[in-house]
Amino acid sequence: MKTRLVYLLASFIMLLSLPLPLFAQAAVPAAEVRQNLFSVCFKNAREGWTVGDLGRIFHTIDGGQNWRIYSANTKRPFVAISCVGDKLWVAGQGGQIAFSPDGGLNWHMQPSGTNRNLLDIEFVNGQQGLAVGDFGTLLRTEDGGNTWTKISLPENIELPPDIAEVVQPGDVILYTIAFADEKHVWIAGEFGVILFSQDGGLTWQQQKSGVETTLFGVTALDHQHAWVVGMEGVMLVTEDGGATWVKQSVPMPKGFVLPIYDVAVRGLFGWAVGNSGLLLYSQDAGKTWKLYDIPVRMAGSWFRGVTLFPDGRGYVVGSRGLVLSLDRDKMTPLKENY
Amino acid sequence: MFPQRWIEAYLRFLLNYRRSVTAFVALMTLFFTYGLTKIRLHTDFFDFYPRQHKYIKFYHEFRKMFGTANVMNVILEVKSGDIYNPTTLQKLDYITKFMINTKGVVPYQILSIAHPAVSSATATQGAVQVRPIFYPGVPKTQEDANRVRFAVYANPNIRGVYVANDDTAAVVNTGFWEEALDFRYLYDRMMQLAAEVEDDNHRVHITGFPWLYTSVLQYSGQLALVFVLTTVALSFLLYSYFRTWTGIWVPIFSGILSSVWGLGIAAWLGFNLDPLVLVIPLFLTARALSHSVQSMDRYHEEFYRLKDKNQAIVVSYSHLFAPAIASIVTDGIGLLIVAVAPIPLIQKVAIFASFWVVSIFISVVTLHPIILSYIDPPPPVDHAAHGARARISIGAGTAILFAAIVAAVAIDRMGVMHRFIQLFPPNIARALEFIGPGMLCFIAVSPVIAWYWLSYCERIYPAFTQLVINASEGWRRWAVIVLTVALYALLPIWGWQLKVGDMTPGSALLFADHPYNVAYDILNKRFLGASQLIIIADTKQPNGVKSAEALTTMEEFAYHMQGAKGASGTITIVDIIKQLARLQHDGDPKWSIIPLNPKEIGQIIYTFTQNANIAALNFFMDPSARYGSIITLFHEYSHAVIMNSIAYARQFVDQYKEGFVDFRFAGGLFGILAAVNEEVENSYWKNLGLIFLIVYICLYLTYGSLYCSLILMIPVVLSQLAAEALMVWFRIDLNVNSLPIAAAGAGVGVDYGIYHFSRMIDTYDEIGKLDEAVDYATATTGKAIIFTASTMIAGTGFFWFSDLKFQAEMGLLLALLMSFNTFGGLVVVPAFVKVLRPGFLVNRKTKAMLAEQRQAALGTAQ
Repeated sequence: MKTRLVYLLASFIMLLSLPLPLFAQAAVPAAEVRQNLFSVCFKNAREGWTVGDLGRIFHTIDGGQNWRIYSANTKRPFVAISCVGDKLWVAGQGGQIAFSPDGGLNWHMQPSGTNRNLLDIEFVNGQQGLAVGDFGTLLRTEDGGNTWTKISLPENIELPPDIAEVVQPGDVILYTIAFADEKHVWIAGEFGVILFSQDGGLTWQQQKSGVETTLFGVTALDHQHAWVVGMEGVMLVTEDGGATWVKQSVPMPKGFVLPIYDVAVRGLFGWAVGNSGLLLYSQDAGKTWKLYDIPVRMAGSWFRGVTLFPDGRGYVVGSRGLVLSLDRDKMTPLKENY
Repeated sequence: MFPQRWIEAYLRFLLNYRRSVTAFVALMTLFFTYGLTKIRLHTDFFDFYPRQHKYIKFYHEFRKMFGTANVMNVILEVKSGDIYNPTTLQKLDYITKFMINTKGVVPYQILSIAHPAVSSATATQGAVQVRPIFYPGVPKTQEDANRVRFAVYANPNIRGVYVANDDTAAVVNTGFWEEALDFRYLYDRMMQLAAEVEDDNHRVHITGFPWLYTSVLQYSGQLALVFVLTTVALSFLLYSYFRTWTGIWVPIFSGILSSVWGLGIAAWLGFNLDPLVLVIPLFLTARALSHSVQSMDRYHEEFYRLKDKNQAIVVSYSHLFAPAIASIVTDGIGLLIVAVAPIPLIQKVAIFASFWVVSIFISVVTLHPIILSYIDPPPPVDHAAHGARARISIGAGTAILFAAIVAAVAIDRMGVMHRFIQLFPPNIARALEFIGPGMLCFIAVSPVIAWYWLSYCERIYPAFTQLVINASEGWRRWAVIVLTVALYALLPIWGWQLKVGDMTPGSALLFADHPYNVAYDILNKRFLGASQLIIIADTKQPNGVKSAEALTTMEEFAYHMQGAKGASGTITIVDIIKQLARLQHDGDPKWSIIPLNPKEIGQIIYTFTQNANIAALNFFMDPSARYGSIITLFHEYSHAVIMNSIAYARQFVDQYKEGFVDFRFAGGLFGILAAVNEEVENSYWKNLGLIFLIVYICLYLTYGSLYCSLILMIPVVLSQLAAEALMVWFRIDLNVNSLPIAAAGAGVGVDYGIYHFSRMIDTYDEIGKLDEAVDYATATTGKAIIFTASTMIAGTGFFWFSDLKFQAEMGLLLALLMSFNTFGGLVVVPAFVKVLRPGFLVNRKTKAMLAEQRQAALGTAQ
């Protein structure tokens, strides 16, 4: 009898909490975030969001010490996040895009019109954004994501000759987006493909990267200065809006040639992150890069997302819920049990 | 329990047919002696598993599929630098191959980065390659070693699992089938391995359950030494008490005879002797001695009084028969009840220990009258003269004794003995090392103890007896009662904290600095931990694992389990699928997600099995792909962590409503230990309840008084409360090994009360005054009890010096339990009897009254 009453009460409480996802999850300390984290976006130095496995979205207001877990009602992973103020967009497996107008409390799915995996999403303001992904998927919106339009890739994309035999130019996987401003935006992907748009993403021109490796990350300081990173420790830099991309030499741990997954340059500071605990940092606005000496325990971790503010503060997210807090040339892991 | 005339008839039968009885006993003994040749000192892992428990059934169902829970971990540690150099990696390769060629291993359950089953997936030029970590071969150059480092860093579930998080060690995990373990072989084999592999920069550490019992077995030589020393000490104590050779050989003979019978039955029943329970036989032998001493003492007493051998035998044994039978039966049943624990190990112990105790009926109660009838009665011994012979005063003697003991303890504690031992030639040094520094110190000081005891025991026993008598005089009896009540109230404060299972990290069987525990420490501090909880996800159809829904559920569950207290990580097939999916896309972590399309999942698994050793999948998925396993790694296996982990897993399962999979609990070491601990916990309380009930019934049948039986129960329950409190104080775990010993202690505690109380009745019948009767009983039987208690303590005492922590603890526990039992039987019972003055005693008609009545009846008749 008593147990039945308990069940009844419990189900009643659960019923009450259904429309209020706010109360569904209490904040957990960083140590209890264990999912692989793929992408990060911070509104200011203390409040930000990150996305990980099982479609979970994490929110912090204390610089990453504690995280509230949100769900957009899917267990498919989101691998990219973009934030403009409290507006959030997340994109991931199966073409899913979810939007929250209120910093993560409420979510709804946006019709992306594709079931291809999306790998990056970026908004330059509350309305205008891009998403990229598998098989040359490129989506654009001008209304905050209510409608997404598929943009075709330029037909004259040049691929390395041996690749061109087996891959259609329109099929390259696009990994990354960086807006320099509302007009100028870069995207990059497989086979060293770099595309540049000067009209906010409507039309695209290929830029010569000079490499054939896959490019995973891009960052733009302004419409002249940008960096892309990719496999085999590749880092390219342009100072002329992409007319020329120059290979930048970066240090690697002894005996390793590791992929670099993401890069951010803001103000005088720059961080690039990669596989097997690779962390590079710059204190001269990306001109030279140094290898960050990580504790050997972290050498098996990968880092997939980095965000940075001009004052040198920022965050890195990676495998097994690892979040690093950045401060100029210093890095602090926010949990010990990585 | 038995009418007096039956007892006397039995005694007359024994004396009349003493030849036939002797021949029969001799024949039986021969039968059991023959059995002894078959006895094996051996640990069988299946003996620990409660077969009917659902986790054990589960374990047996999936053992062939997902491997054994008996995993030995061989750790190769480098003293400086890291493991990524050709020398270390070659050694690791050697160890791995060495383990493959070791008997009893589960062939597909040998895992290290040197074994192809632990593979590295890499993407080269767009194609995914699954290769051994050591590909293309055992590293020969630093270049090769660097490639290994890369493979280790780039793959999930290798660092922490097979390589230490700080790169200073690597482990070779080896599963053993329970039934194929040969500990002696394994020990030699591993010693050979260590000798071959270790050098200035490399050390081998071994841990894991198979090695635990291998290590324990190494102490069997020391156990033999303990047996010898104990026999010597007991003989010495017997001599100091009786001062006759008969006084030594008769009790020792009974002890040995019972041992032969007890061990013989174990052998005939096909039981193996677990080295860990060997403290019980010693304890039982001491019990046989104790009964023997009681009867010898009473016989001597009667003989000096009656001056006739046969009459003395009949009189003494007719009085002793009831208490002896009562205590043997209660002990026997008490031990047998331990078998309610559905764990084979405990049941075997219960059965042969119970038979052993019952055999005391033959070795003492039956044979003693016969032996005594054959041999000449001892000449009167002038005990006082022995006492007076000491040349110096007892005070000076005690001072010398204390000085010697303090010196011995100090030398032992300072740890100089090890260096002292090294002064001897190597062969002798090794022998001395084997005996152990503590034991050596004790042996060194033992002549002083012997001298002291021989000189003063004649004064100590009476003085102690007087002390005990005084304790129930006047106001002191009230003090005893207050103390008893206080103990009843206070001891449970600690006793309630007694928890089942292992409380100390590492193995509680061995001391913390034992190499096994050192290795365990390394494994749990530098690696993710060695103890596994395995839960199976049943997708209810072949190939069910290859669906995104099932895999997502497993992934979600794995993440949940990572939050369990003490958990350090999880391993599932999802990790492999995600890693391969990632590699198919240039290694980008954003692709390390479960593909939505079952075909794609199937392809990934196919790629893996085509490239890698198929065995690598065995732990994660069965060949039909119906079952997937979720392995959670833990740093420790304390009971709290185990039970919490299973409850924590249940939380997820209870709220999981999607129905893609059913979860099946619980395998791995955690499943087994949970099953064992659950049964230990359940049966412990069942045991205690039943033992108390049986003891009470036996007491009632003996004395026919509920009230008196209740008084005799006071010390029994008190000892139990004390035992639990002591276990908490000394941090002794209540587990499958200690349960039979703790329960044995509880079951056999009532003897002293029985002997003592029976003598009170006898004496009261003689003199009709309660207080005097009690004091007289204490002065006679009490003295023998004090003596037998001292033999019991000596019998278990040598275990204190054992290098095996478990034996040391159990020796101490039993000694303390016996002290409490003695205190209860000698001090508590008289105090309560004197205060409560039970009607059963004071309303008895004494012999004088009976004579008067008879006289009166005759008178009226005339």
